[in-house]
Amino acid sequence: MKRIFNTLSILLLLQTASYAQQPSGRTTATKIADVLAQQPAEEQSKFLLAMKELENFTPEDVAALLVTLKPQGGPNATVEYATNSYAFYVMQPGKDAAREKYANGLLLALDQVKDKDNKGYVLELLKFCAKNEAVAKVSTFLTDDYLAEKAARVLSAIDTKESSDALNKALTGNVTEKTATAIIGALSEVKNQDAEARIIELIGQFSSDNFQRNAFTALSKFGGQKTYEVLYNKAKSVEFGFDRTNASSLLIEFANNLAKNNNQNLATQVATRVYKEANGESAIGAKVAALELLSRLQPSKQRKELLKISSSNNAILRNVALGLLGNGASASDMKKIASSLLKLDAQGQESVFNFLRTKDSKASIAVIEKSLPKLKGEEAKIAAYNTLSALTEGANTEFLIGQLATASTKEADVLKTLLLTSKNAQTIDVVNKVIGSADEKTQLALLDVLSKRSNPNSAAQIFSLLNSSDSTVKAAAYTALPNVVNDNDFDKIIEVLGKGDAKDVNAAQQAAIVALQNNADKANILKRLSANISRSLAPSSARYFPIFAGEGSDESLKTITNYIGQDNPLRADAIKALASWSNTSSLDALTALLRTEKDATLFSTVFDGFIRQLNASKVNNDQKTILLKDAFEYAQNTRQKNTALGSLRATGTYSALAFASRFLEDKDLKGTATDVVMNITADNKSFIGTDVRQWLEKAQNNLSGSESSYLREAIVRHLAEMPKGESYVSMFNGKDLTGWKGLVENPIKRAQMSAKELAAKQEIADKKMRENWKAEDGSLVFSGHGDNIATVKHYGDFELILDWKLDKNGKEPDAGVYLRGTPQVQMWDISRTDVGAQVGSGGLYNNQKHESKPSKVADNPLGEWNNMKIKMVGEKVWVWLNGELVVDNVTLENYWDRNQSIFPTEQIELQAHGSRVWYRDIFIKELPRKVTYTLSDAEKKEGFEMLFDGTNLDKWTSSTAYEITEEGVLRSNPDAKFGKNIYTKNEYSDFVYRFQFKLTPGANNGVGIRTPIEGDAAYLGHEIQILDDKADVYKNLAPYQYHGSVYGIIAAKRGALKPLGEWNEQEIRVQGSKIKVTLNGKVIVDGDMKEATKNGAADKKDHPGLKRTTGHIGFLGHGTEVFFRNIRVKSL
Amino acid sequence: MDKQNSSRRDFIKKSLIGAAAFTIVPRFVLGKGYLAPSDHLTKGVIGVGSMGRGHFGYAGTKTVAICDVDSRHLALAQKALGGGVKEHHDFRDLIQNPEVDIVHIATPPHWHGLMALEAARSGKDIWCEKPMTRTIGEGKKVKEAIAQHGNIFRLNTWFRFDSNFYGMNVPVKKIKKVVDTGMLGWPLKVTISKHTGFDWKFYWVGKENLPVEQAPKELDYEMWLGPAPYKPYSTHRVHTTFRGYWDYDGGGLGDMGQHYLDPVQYFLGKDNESPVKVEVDAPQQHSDAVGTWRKITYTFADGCQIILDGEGTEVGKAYIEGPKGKLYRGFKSDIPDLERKLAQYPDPAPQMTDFVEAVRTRQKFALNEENGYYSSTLVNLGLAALRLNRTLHFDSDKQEFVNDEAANRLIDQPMRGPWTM
Repeated sequence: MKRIFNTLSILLLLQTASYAQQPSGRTTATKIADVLAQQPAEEQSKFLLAMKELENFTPEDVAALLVTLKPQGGPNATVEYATNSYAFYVMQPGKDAAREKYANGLLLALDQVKDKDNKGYVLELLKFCAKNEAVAKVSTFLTDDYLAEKAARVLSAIDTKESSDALNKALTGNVTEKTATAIIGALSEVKNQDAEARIIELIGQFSSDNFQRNAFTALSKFGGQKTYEVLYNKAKSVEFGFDRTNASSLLIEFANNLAKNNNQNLATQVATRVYKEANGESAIGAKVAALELLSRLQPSKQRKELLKISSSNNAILRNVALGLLGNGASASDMKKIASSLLKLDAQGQESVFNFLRTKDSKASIAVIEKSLPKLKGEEAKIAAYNTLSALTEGANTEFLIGQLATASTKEADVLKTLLLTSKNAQTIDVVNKVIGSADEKTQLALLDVLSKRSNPNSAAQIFSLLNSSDSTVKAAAYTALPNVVNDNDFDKIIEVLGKGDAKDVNAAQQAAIVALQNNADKANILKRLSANISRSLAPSSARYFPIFAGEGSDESLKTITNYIGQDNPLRADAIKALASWSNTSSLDALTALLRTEKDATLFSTVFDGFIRQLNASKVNNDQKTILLKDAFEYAQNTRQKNTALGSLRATGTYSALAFASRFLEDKDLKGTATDVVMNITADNKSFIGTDVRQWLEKAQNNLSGSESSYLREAIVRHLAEMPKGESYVSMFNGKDLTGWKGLVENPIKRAQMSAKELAAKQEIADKKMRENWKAEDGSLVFSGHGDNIATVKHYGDFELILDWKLDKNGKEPDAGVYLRGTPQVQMWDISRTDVGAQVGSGGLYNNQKHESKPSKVADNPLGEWNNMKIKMVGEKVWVWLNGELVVDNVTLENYWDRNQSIFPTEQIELQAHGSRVWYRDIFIKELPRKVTYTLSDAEKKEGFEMLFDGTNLDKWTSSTAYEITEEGVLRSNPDAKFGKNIYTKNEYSDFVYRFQFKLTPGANNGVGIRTPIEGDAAYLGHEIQILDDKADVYKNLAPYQYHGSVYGIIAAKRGALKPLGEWNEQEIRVQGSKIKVTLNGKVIVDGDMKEATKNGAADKKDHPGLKRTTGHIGFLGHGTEVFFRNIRVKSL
Repeated sequence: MDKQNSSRRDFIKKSLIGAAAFTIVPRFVLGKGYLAPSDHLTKGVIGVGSMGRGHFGYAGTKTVAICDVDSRHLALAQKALGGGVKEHHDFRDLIQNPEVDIVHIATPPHWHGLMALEAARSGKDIWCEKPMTRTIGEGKKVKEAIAQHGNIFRLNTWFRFDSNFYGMNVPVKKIKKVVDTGMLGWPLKVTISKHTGFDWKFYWVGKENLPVEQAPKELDYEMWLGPAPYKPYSTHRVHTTFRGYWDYDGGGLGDMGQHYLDPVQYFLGKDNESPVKVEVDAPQQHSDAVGTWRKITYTFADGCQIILDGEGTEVGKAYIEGPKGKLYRGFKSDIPDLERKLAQYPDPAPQMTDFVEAVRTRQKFALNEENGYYSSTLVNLGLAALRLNRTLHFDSDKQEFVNDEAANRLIDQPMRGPWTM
C-alpha cells in the first residue's frame, strides 16, 4: 500500500512540475479559456490538472469566470463543472489558502453576477467551501425573499459562532415569514439558543402551521427554559396528539434534548407531566415516549413498575415494559417474567418468549420447557421453540424432533427450519439415528430436512426408506436421494433406477449424476453402464440417458449419439438428452440436428438446447454470429426467432449488428432488434458511420415505456460523441448489383488500355456479369458460369467481412476473393483431397514464395455459411475464417507479374469458378494509409531539412505528450500527464519553418522559436500561437492571442484558418527581429518584434526572450489535441 | 475456520441479537387500528407516480389513502384502485390519517428521510422505497427515530431474501451459505459488473443547461422540491427522470445501487459496518446533473472489497473471489463438488420476510432501518466519492469521513426551510 502512495505522490509532483511550464503571465480571459477547455475532465489526472489551473486564479479571475454565466438554461455547463469541482477540491486538508482565495472570489462574484438564480448558484458553491470570511457578505442576503434560503444554508454549513450570531442578528431585524423560516431552519441546524426568545416572539406573529412547526423544531433542539411552556401549551391544546405543527412530538424531543444537555430535572418534570396527562387515544405515542424517557432518567425508580406491567395482559403496557426493561433486566427478573407466562394470553406469551430469546436468558430454559404443554396457541408455541433453540444454541435436536409428531403444519415448518439452521455439529447425526424408527409424520418432516441438509451417513437411512410401505414416505425418500448419495452408492442407485416407478425416475437419475460427478472410478463406471445398455433398444434404456447428459464426458456423448439415427426408437430420448447436456460438448451434435430436424416438437427441443449451449460455449464471436444467423433462418416461430436474434447481442460483431438492424421495423422482432443494436453499438465505439447512425435513430424511435427516456438520452449522447467518418460500409445492398461490375482482363492489361477501349470492354463485361451474378433473397449468387464480379471502387488498405457458402451438390465447389485485382483468398470443398483442399479455406492460394496454405482448417460443413474477415495493409494479409486466424501477416504475391509487388490499390473481386456460390453481408472498412513526406525538388535545392516525415522523431527531444499515429501524423496527446512541449534537438537562429497542422475543437498549441528547453517558452523565447480561435471558450481573447500571433507581441490577421478538421499549411520566417507568418498562402503576420515592443509588449508583460537570437524550435502543448505533419526547416 | 473468520462470526451473532431489539409502541394494539391477523392492515401510499402505483399490489394490506403533489398521478392512481380512496395533497395529512396503519413512501429520495421521520414519530409503520435516504445524515436520523418510536420499517429491495440474485441463478441465501462455510477463505472481493447483471441503469444521468419551463398547473412544484434547493422547473427535473440530479437522487447508483449492494452487504456479514475506503474512477461530475462513472471500489477494515464495475468489461470474472475459492456467474465455482460439501452445513439464520407478519408481531423485517441504513450508506458513500471525484476515507464507528470537511458537508446537507430533520 505504502508503495502505491509513494508512486502516486511522485506522479502528483511531476504534474505540478509540468504545470509550471504554463505561461505565468496569462490574462484572465486566457486563464478562463484554458480551464474551460478542459471541462469536464474525463480522467482524474486531467481533473487534477484543471484544479491546479484554478489554483492560479485570483479572486478577480474567479468572479470574472462566474460573470460569464448565462441565465438558467443557457450554456453554463463548463463553468459549472469547473466551479463546483473546485469548491470541493479546496476543502481538502492543506488547501486553506486556495480555499480562502476562492471563497473571496465567490463573494466578489456575488456583487458582480446579476441574474438571481446565478447568485443562488454562487451561494450553493459557498455552501460547500465557505468559512468565516463569507459571513458578513452572505448575511446581507438574509433579507432577500428569494435568496434568504440559500444564504441561510451557507451560514448553517459554516457552522461557527460567527455564522450563528449572524443568523441570530438577522432574525432580530425585519423579517418576512419566508426569510424567518429560512433563518430559523438554519438556526436549528447550528443550535443557537440565543434565538429562543425571538423565535417565540415570531410564533405569535406568523401563525401558519409550517412556520410554527419550523419554529417548534428549532426550539426543541435548543432545549431552552422559555420553550417549555410554549411547547407544552401547544401540545396540550391538541391533547398530546399529532397536528401539523408536530408540537406533541417536539415536546418529547425537547425533553430528550434537555436530558442530553444535563438538565435532568426539567426533563423529568416534562416527562412526568406528559405521562400523567397524555391519556387520550391519540396521545398514546406521547405517553409511551414519556415513559421511555422516565425510565432512562430514573432507571431504578421505574424498574419495579416496569417489571409489574411486563406481566400484564394489557398488550401496550406489557410490550412497552418488556422493551424498556431490555438491557436492565437481571437473570432473576427474567426468571420472574418467565414464571408468570401461563397467566398471560397467547399474544402475551409470544411477546415474553420473544423477549427471553433476545435477552439470552438461559436461566429460564427449564421454566419454558415446563410451560410448553400448557401454552395457548400455535404462535406461542412457535415462539417457544425459537426461544429454546436460541437459548440452547441448537443442542436440542431430540426435543425438536419429538415435537414433530404432534406439530401443526406451521409448527413443523418452524421445527424443520430450526433443524436446518442449527449450528450444533450433532444435529444431522441425531436425525440419521432416529429417522428409521420414527412415526411416518416425523419421517416425512425429517426426510425434508435431509433433502436439504445431510451428512455422509444419511444415505443408508434414505435407501432403506425407499422401501417404505407408506407411499408418501417413499416418494419423499426419493426426493431426498440426490442430496445424500455418496460416490460408492452408484450401483445401488442404478438398481433403484431400474425398478423404480416412472415418477421416481427423475430423482434417481439426479442421484446417479451426483454420485458419478466426482467419482474416482468414473471412467470405468460409465463404460460399464454404456455397455450394459448398448445392446438394448428397450424403452427402459432411455432411463439412463439423463445420467450421461448430466455427466457430460466425451465418452457419454459417444454413447448417446449412437441413438440419434433416424430409425432408432430411442431417438427422441437421445435428442432430449443432448439438448439438456450439462456442458457444451453436445453443441456440434445439436448444430447438426438444428439443420436437419423436421419434427416441430423435437426441433423446439433441439433449438432451445442449441441456443443455450451456444451462448454458454467458448465458440468465438464470429462463428457464434454465423450459427445464430443460421438458427434464425431455421427458426419455426416468432419466439425462436426472437431467441436467436437476442443472442446475437452478446457476440458484439458488426455482422450481428447489421443483421439485427434489418428487423428494426418488424412488428414481431423490433423490440429484440432494438436491444441488440443499442447494446452492440454501445459496447463497440469503433462501429461508426452513416448506417450505424440510421440504425440508432430507428432504435431510439422504437423505445417506449416510462424509463426509456434514459435509454433515448444514452443514444442521443452516443450519437453526439460518435466521431465523424465511416467504419464498415456495406458493399452489397441485398437487392441489386449496385457498386459491382464485370471483369475486364487483369490489372496490368487494364492499365495499358485507353480509356475508350476499357469503357467498351467494360460494357461487354458488365452485360456478361449480369447473366451470371444475381441478387437473390439478400444473397449475391453466382450461377457457376462466367467470370468474376468486381467492385467499381478501388481499395488500398482495408478490412473486409463477408459470409460465403459453397454448393453442396456442385461440381468441384470452389471460390475465392481477389484482393486488389489479384488471386486470391481461397474457398473450397475441403474434401477435394485430389487438389489439396484438405488444408482448409482462407489460404493465399497463388503464393509461391510466401505461405499459400491456411494455418488450420476452420471451415464449416460444405453447404453451410462461413464467415471471413480479411485485413490487408500494404502487401500483408490476415485472414480469419469463422473467427479463427488462418493467415497471419503473409505477403500477397503479384500473380500477374511475379517480379513486381502487389498493386497499391485495385478492385476487389469475387471469384467465378465452376459451381454455384452464395455471398452475403459484405462490409468493408477502409484503413488510413501511412504517408511519408519528402522534400520537394525546390526545397531540396534551397537546402531545406526534413524534421518530421511521418516515420520518426529522431530530430526531436523526447516527450510522452507527442506520438506518431498510425497514419504517420504527429499528435499532441490531450491525455498526457506531463511534458507537454517537444523541441528540436538542434538550435536555429534565422530560419524558414514550414509545417502542416490540423485543429480539433478548442485546440491550443504554439510554435516556440529561439527558445530554451527549460522554462516558459512564450516568454523566454517567442511563441507563435496555434489556436482554434473561433471556439466559444476563446471569444474574449486579445488580438495578440489569435492564431498566428507572436504571443503577446504582434497580433495576427484572422480568417485564413481552414475549417476545423482540415489541414493547414503554415510558414514562419524569422530573420533578426523581423518575422513573417504565412498561413494557407495568406500573410497573417509581417512585422518587427523589436519595433513592436519598443514601448513595451502588447500584453504589458516582460519578454526576456526578445534578447535571444537563437534557440530550439518546438511545439508548446496545452492539453489539447492537435495534429502536425510534413515539418521542414531551412536555416537562413 | 481461521481466526479472522471466527471473530467475524461472533460479530454477526452480536449484531443479530441487537437487530431483534424489542419495540415500544405496537401499532396493532393501539385500539382503533387493531386488526385480527387474518384481516388486512391498511396502508397509505405517498407518491403515486409509476413506482408508487406498484405499491398498491403488495399483498396483505389494503390501500386506503394516497398522496401526491401532482393531481394527474392521483387521478391515475384512483383509477387503478377502482376509485373511492382518500386523496391527500400534503403527506403529513396522510400520515396523520387514523385509517392508515402503514405508510408507503414511494417519492423521489430527497423526501424519504423527512417522510420516514414524520411517520416514525406518528407511530406508523413504514414501507420505504430504496434508497433509504439521500444522505448519510438523514439515514442516521431515521434510524434513531425508529429506535425511539419502535416502528416496523422495511426498505423496498428484496434480493437479500427473495428471488434469484442478478446473474447468479440462486437466491442470495445460498451465496451466504457458501460464504459462511469459509470455503472461499477470507477476505473476499465481490465484483458486481454488467457480467453479473449490473446493467445500463447505472448510467441514468441528468442533463446540463436544462431549459427553463413553466411548471404544469397539475403539479405543486414548490412541494415537489420540498427540502431541495429551489431551481427553476424543467420537465426533465421531475417524474421518472429526477434520478439524474444530485438534489433528489444519485443517478443509476442512487436508484438501483441498493438492489445490488444490499445483498452483498448481507452475505459478507457487513450489516453493522461501513467500508473504510471508497475509490472512484469517473469523469468529473457536474454540480446539478449526475454523470456516468466507470468504477467504484469499497474496502472494509478487514480487507473485504466490493467493486461496482460500471463498464463490466471483464467478462468471465469471478463474482466472489477469496483466497481459497471463487464463485462465478450462474453459481459456478472452482471448488469441486461444492453442492455436496454445502449440504453438510447449516443454513443461514431464517429471515423475517413477511411484512404483514412483522407488523403484526412487532418483529424486525429482514431488511429494516438498521441494515438498510448501512446499505443505503454504501450508495451514499459512492455518490460522495463520485461528486468529489477522489478517494474518501470513512470512520465506520463514527459514521463520518476522516479529516475531510468537504466530504462531511455531504453527510448533512441543510434543507430548505421549513423542512428540517
